Amino acid sequence: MQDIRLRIAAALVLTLSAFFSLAGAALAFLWWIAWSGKVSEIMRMRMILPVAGMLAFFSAVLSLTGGDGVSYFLRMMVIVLVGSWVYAEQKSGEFLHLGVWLLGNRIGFELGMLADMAMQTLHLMVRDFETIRVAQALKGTGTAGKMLVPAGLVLVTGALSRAEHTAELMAVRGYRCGGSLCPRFLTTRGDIFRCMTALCILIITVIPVSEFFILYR
Amino acid sequence: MIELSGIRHTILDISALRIPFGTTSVIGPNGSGKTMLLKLLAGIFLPHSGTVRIDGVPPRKTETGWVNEFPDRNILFGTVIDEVASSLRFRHLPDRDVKITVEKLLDSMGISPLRGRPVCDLSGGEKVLVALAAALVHTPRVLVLDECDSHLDNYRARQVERIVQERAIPYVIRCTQQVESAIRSDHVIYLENGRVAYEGVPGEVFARLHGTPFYPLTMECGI
Amino acid sequence: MRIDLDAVRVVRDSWSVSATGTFTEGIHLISGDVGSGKTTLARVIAGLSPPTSGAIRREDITHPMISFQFPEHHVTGSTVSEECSSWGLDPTVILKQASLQEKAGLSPLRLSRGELKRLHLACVLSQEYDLLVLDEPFSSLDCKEKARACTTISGRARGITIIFTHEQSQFPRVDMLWEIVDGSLHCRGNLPDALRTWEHAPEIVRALIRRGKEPANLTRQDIREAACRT
Repeated sequence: MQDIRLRIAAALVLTLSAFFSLAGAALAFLWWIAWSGKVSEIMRMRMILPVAGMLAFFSAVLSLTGGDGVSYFLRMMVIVLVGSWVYAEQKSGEFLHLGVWLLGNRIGFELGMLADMAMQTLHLMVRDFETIRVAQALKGTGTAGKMLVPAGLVLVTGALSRAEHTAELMAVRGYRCGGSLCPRFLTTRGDIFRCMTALCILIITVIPVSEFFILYR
Repeated sequence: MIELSGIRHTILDISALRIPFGTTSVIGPNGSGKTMLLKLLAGIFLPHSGTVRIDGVPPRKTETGWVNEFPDRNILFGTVIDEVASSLRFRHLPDRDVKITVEKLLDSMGISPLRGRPVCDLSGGEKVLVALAAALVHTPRVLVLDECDSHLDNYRARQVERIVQERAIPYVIRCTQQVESAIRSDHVIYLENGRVAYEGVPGEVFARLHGTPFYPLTMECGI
Repeated sequence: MRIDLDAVRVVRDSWSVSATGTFTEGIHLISGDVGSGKTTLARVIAGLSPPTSGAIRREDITHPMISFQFPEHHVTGSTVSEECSSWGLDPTVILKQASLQEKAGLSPLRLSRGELKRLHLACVLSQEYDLLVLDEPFSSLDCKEKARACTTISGRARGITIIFTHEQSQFPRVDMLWEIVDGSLHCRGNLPDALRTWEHAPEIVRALIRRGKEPANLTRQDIREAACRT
């Protein structure tokens, strides 16, 4: 989906649907399969498995303590898949336009700029972590566990250093508070249709089916 | 004229320094204070003691452009357009005027094809060009380039030099390890241990550096 | 000891790089524009990422190493001294080589980028590797340190050393010259013959060749000697 506003809205309503009930989660999952378009890319994301593992653990605990762990696991996994889809679809600069559209040229600009910078930092850290992992493996520094602390130190130091340079650059470019921007979005009919179907899923999930046939009763 | 007087700031100890109009290259060993000097000239830091004046005005009241060494650290925004337009947007200029100015600049620099691209997809050299555009868009009086040529190949480095020359910026201060390019500057400053060891026209400064690794090979070979 | 690249191709979203050739023992210099794929090819040759197509055959390469452009990626020690030890080296010797004796107790991440690069290169170049890939080894170094790095690299007597760089001012002694042009790796051959067809040759080398004073190699000494030839 090209329009971030509709994408975020769809993600929100799908998350609510999945959270609300197993039926909602099933419909949201079908929506994800049909519309996300990046299934293979998302399934390649490394964080999916550890998150699934964590959810499986909490679900098991829930089951053992008398709750419906299976339902919880399935609903949470759908929410994770929806979140992964939003992350995979994200393009540089979108949050700035979204922020200004939502909250204007002062607070909105700042929040949007912050979000874009955070995403950039995240991408850089992921890239750096891969390089560090390889460098340390070549050096023969031992187990994956042993390398986490030095890798973490390098990443944190790098992030702090980048933050310092970012602040300097913003100051030199005359940043005081907010900025002027006319937000632009590319909205297609497909985006609107997908968002509407997501909304329908939420409506069906929240309102019992019998209520649709209220006149019949 | 840029005038520094009684500067004491971290490693820097400069009693008096005058930098004329034109392109000035700052050279010297790692840790000699080059980047700190450039940051004082750009107004990023205020000196612990002493003054910096650009035509009688403090750097923070002067329009300054800054490009540093590492392409990834030069970039604030995710797209080329947002990055180049940033300083105009921070000044709350009308969106239409920003758009026109940015398009004109990208055209004049020959990097219009990059306009719609995400910055993370660009090569290191292209990122430096985008950072340079972002520094030039608000027509700075002082342009500070901190070793931005160290990640450029010869072709891109020459492109950057040409673009900067065409803009006719009153003061261009560049820190570089490419001493061969420093020969083409109007003025050279050699820093050592935070002090100005030599300064003047390239011929004079390099004559004092004969026999050191900072002496250009082209001069050594008489080319 | 050799590495054969057989129609190796690496394809990314908006560009690709292809390479065919053989690297034997000695010092190889691969030049190319920024963004031409040097780092990607470096990683493929070092065996860190697979090519999209083609094959790489390595003979008698049991101890490979790649030095990344940013030395902090290699840091594991909490002090400079510990960092030297993490490479299996004597800190006293390395710190003396890198002129960092007073900084032995500091965190490596508190060194300036030039100092960290110096430390890293001192560690890497002190080891014997069958294959040593250096990705932009001269970045962040000043002229004096570049000269020192070039001298150390020139002294490597065994193994395959491959230097990826866009450096134009200082070079070590090089046995074989390569360059990436238009998305393809080309072997220009041994020096000095290779200098005539080297598209990324520095201006001073071109000027000397135009005057009929081809340098024997790329070190400062060779260039000086060629310039002084009558």
